[in-house]
Amino acid sequence: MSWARLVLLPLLVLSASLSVTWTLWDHERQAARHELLTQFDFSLGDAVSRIEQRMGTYELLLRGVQSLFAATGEVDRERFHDYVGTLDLDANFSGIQAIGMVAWVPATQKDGHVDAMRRQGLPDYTIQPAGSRGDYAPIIQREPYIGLNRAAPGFDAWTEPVRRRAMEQARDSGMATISGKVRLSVDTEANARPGFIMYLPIYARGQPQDSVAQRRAHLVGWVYASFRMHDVIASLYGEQPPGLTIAIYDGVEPSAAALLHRTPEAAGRHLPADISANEYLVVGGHDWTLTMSAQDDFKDRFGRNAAWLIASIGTGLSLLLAFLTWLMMTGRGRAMRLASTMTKELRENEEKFRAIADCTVNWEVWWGQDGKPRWINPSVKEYIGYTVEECMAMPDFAGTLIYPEDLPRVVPEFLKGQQGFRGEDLEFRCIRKDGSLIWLSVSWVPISDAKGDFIGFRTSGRDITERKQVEAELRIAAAAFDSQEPMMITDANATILRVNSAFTQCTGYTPEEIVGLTPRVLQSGRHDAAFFREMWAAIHRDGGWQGEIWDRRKNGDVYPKWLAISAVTSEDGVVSHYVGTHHDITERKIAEERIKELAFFDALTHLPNRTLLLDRLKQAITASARSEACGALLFIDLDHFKTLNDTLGHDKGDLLLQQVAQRLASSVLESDTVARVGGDEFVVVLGSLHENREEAASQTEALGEKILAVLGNPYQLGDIEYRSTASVGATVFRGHQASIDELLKQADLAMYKSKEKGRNAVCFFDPDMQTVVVERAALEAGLRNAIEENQFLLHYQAQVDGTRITGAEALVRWQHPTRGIVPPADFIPLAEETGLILALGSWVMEAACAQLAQWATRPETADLSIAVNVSVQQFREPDFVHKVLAIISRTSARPDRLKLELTESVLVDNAQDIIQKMGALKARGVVFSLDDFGIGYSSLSYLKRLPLDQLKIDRSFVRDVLVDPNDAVIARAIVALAQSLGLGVIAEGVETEAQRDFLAAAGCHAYQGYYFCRPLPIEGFDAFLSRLEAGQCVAE
Amino acid sequence: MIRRSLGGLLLALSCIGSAMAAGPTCSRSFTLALHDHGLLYSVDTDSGIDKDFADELIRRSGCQIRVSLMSRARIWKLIESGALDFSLSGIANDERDQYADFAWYFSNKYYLLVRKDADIHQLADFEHNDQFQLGVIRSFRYSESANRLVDTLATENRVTQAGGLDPLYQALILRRIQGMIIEPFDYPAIDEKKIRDVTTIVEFNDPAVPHGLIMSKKALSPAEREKWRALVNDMRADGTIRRIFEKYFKPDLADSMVNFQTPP
Repeated sequence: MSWARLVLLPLLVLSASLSVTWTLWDHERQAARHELLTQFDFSLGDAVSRIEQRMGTYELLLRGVQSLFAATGEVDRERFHDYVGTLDLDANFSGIQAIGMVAWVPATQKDGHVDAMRRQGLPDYTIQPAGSRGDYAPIIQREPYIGLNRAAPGFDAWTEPVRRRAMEQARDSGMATISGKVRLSVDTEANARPGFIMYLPIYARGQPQDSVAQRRAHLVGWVYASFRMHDVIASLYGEQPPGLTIAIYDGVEPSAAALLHRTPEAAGRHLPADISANEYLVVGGHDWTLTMSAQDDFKDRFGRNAAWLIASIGTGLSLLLAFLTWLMMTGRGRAMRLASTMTKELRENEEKFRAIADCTVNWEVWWGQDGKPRWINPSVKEYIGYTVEECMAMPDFAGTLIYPEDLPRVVPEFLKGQQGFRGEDLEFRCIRKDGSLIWLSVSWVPISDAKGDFIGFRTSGRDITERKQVEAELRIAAAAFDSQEPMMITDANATILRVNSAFTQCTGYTPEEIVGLTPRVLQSGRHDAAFFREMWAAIHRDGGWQGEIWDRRKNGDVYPKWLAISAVTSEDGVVSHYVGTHHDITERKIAEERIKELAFFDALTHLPNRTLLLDRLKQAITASARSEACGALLFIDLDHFKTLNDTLGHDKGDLLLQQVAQRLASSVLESDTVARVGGDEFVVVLGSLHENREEAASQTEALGEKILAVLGNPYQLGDIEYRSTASVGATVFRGHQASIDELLKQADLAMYKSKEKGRNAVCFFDPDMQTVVVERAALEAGLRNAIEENQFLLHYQAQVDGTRITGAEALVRWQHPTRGIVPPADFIPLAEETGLILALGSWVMEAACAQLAQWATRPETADLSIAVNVSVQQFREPDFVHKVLAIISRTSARPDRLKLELTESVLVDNAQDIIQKMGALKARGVVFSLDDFGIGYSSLSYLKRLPLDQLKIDRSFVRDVLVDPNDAVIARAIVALAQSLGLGVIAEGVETEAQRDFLAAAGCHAYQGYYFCRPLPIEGFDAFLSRLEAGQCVAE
Repeated sequence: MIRRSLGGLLLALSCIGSAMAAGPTCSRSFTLALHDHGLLYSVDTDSGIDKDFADELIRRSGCQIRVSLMSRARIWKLIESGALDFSLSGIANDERDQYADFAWYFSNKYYLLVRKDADIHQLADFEHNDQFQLGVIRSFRYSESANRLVDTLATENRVTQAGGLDPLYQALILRRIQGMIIEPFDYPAIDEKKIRDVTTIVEFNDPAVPHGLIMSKKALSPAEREKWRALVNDMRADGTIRRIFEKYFKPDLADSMVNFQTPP
């Protein structure tokens, strides 16, 4: 539908209807006009007719009068009067002014006429105007004799030309003739209304009137009727013809002079001249012009205004029609557009539907009433991995796909759907082709066909796996939120939205109290504004902040907490929330303190520990370097502390240490450091000494002596009074001359030196000490090596009973590759210190038992026993018994030939264990001997408890047995003790015969010493044995 | 039987025919009106074609017919109302046919008499000249184009009516009107009154219009009218009408007027 046609057709319709309207309007206008004109014409014709009729009537009237005279032949006044009286002019013939008679008086008969007139009752009759003329035609009578008609007769109408002409015409034609415009003779006023007169001739009776001449000859007179046109018209219409103005003119020219009558016009009511017309009347042989004009009244009365109505309605209808046409056109266009829109919409909907149906968002299945799928949309492939064909081919589509666990839940709903119920949001799992599961949310509605019958149902499923996951996560989050850790969630403006129960527990604020507030309420005031600025800066920069902050609980407690704030951003990166978790670190703080303490302080003495010491030492060195004052490092070692520990027990030992620590701490300045670095080792760091090294050393020595003195005072350890001494090693330093390690080593060496010197002394570091230390270290290394490289060998020293060799004591010797034979005194303590004694002891045991097994092969040596020294450390080993028995069984040695020599110190701790072990070994036959009896911390109760076999008198007693009576007594006592206890006794270190003799006298018959035999290697011992067999035992 | 009835029928028919041939029944006295119109009838002379025709009619019919004089307008009104039985020289149109029946006895053309100074040479000029006033006699109808002209001008109120010819002539001379429609019987007056000098004649291109005896349908029954028509036809047939016309017109003009094809 082109634009042109769209506009053109309505325009066309408009123009057509407008033209029709115009036509109608014009037609109506013309018809109205025509009607008006017709009406006007009718009125005109009516007026004309009326006038003609009336004139005709008047003529008839006159003819009647004429007949009166024609019948009688006389002009009788009385008869005339009566006649007119009977006419009843006013009622029947209104408009007539007078009916009168005019007599034809030729000149000759004038006088006679006048006389006759006078005689007939008109005494004053004269013909006016006076004068003598040819002929006279005076009015002799006017009837009815009233009013103006009473004017004196005698007016000579012949003198008046208009009258005369009419009278002449009437005379000649014998017909009624109307005159022109006259002023009636009775009218005396100046402005009398115009009139006219109708004349009818009266001829002599019985005379022929066929020709004009005859008529003239026989003329008697005329009878006339005089009218004023105004009265005539008035009698026709009333005063005012309705809506019309009439003007009657005499003749054919409507001039003012000829105006006979005019309807008085109302002022200001003029119509255009087109509704006026002239008509010429021919009345009584005379022409009048009737001019009629229609006034507004006329038009209102007869006019039709339908023209304008038609025009307006027509125009309106035209416009309406055009509009309707346009509507129709556009309507068609609109309808087309609507149709196309609808089709497009429909198509779009269809496509949409198809798209929706086919789209991958929802999975649509149309099921028949039998529960079998009729149509599945292709998105099924995305959902469950099966194609549409595969799905349709499945025998039990629903059953195959639904997760078995959910089947019991789904099947009832499925059945309901089959029956035509609808449902929604059924959530269940489906098994995909690859075996994985998805969660579906399915809604279903029944399908009806066009008739409304139920033909199946439609399911629409959505994958809600993600949602389920999200739900799970939400649950987790909710659970997490409700965790043990206090958590607080705020919005971007730090207004608190949620807190968990742990928060309430920690801070004391319930959610109702705190939601809507900001964390400011928790501020303790311990942190300044800068702290918070930093914190927020970090949050904005890194998205979070962690740190320690002191907050205030609701009850006012200020407590430290570890606060972690994370900013939660929405997808567009704008921060939406802050999550804050904190936990009360009061405990941790305390723990930290404790850790610090533990880290840096010795638990027992509360002195700085090694770690802190190093730090302090570093500081002291630095300070010394800065100030150039010397500092000193003192190593203080308690003498015989181990022994104390062993004998009195560790608890006493701890007490001692504590008291030592106190004393040390009080001995030094506040700025100096006292630290405990080892079991019984203390270190003192002195700072701010003299700049001069010697002076500083003196200061240090002085302090060292002071310390010794202080430490030498007796200690009260529970109920025991104890005296202790210490060995102090000192080294002076200044600045960074020596490293910390070196200083420590120096002090340590100095301390050892002090110990070597005899203890209870202050010894300064000497570079020489270094070598000793080095040597010692070397020895230790060598010792380890030795065990591995089997550098040990056993020397045997014979043990005799009387003169007979009962056995030997195995004494370990170290065959050092470079140093040669290293005596036990040099390496045994080191071994015991380093713990190498265990390996060494095991070797010794093994070697001794191997030797026993070897001797067992020879009858002369089969009964010999070997005494092996067992260290306390060895014996304390849990598997010692097992080891020994293993060695015995391995070497196949005779257990009863093996003698284990113990010292008393073995019993100091856990005596029961020792006794048990001894018992176990004794059960197998192993023999025990108590070595070094008499020195050390012997306890006779131990003797009672231990399953010993032999006591060994220490060499120190034996050495002075002859010289020192005390020793002699002791020795004798020991022998007696042994005898009384049933133990064997053997004296150690017998070097002279006198000693032997004494001992023999005392009752001790078993001896070991140089007098009898020196420790010999096995070969030598074997040789000795053979010599002895020869009965001789010569000490070499 | 049938033969008898047929014979009777024939007899009746012939009676009717003879009765018809016998002329109109003079059951009453009839009225006939004349109007003053040139040669048709002049009041002054009391003579005219119509008068002669009326006399002839009276004589032939043997009925009493009272002749009166009235205006043409009145004549038509009375014919319509049935108050008047007859008039003469009338032409028919659809409207008149409803109340009047006609018996034709002459025909003539109509002409437009215009003043020379009106500058009208053909019909169309008349219509376009705004100042043209046409004079007609009230109730007169003419030939087709003449009627058209009159009607057209009447809508424009450019028609002046008159009761008779006389004032029209005067008006024409006095330039009150510029034209009037005339028929041949108006000619003498035209000549006489010196109208011819100042006027020209424009022809209407219409055929001659038949004029005839006007019979009021209301007053006369169709049978009577037929009788009267037959009477007129007789008059025509036997040349009476020609003779009357030749009294007033030249023979060829009279001939052309009297010899005409009777319209169906």
